[in-house]
Amino acid sequence: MIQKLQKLALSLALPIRIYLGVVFIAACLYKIADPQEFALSIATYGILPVELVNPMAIMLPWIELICGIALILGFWTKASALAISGMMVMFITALVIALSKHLQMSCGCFASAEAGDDINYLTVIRDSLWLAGGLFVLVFDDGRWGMDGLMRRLR
Amino acid sequence: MSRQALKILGRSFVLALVGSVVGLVINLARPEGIEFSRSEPYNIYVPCPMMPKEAKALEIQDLQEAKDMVFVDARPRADYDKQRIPGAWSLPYNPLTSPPPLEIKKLKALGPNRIIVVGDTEIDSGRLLAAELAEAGCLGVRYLKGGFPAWKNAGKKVEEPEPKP
Repeated sequence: MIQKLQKLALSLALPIRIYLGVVFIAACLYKIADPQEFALSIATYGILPVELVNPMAIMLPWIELICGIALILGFWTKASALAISGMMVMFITALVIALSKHLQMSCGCFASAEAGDDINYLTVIRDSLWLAGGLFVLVFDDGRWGMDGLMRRLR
Repeated sequence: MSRQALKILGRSFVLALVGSVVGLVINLARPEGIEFSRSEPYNIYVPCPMMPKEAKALEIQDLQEAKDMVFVDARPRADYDKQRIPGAWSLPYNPLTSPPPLEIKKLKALGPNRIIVVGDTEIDSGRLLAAELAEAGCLGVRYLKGGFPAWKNAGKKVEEPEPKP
């Protein structure tokens, strides 16, 4: 029975992993294309000191991109799932703080402020589901259907 | 912490580090790159905290169904004194102050689903006052879409009080 459940979890982890990878790659595209706009989005949350806003805007999208690609490829699967889960915890915390301040603002997740994407509790639920997905991959995906598995077989 | 957990943690740190370095290098190389650190705060334009409640809009043609209603006129007092819906109460909308508690108490006492706020179209005072009344606890507040001009244009009865001597 436990073996069956493990097998099921393992086969579920692959689509979740690929989905999360695609989400993160999609999320980083606008941020990479327009770092100034993304920096403004970060500043709007009013959480980070101003000196840290630009470094965050410069580095975070590329971390998202690299982790997204790693997830899709199944390269360092658990490590990339951990990194993505960590980022999700950070995003959810920022959203909850902004909502508690009743800020009416764009999420800055997928599009610029002008494009809408306003934050609300559904955004928190969505991000929590992605966090759950990341943790699921971290726990259950051993990377056998990806580069990790390939490298193990080649050794 | 187990060796496996440390390995995962270390690798995720490496991923973050690689991403950071790539980001920094590309930001330096691209013409639209931004300065690494900024000391001046960003000019952020965030609308005022959102009104948690929003009143429902009512079209002029739906007014026939709205029986036993009390109209609340959100326009400035001077406009109300010139022309108004017969029997309407005057409660001018002021963006800087909340409606007086005594008026709120009277409106609440009317019971639910009885208030229709009528404003002007210029600042949409009907919608704004209706939202404030809803927020203050008046139940089922609605506002007339198009405000007093819509009422007049529909040929509805208008009261014109005698000018005071």
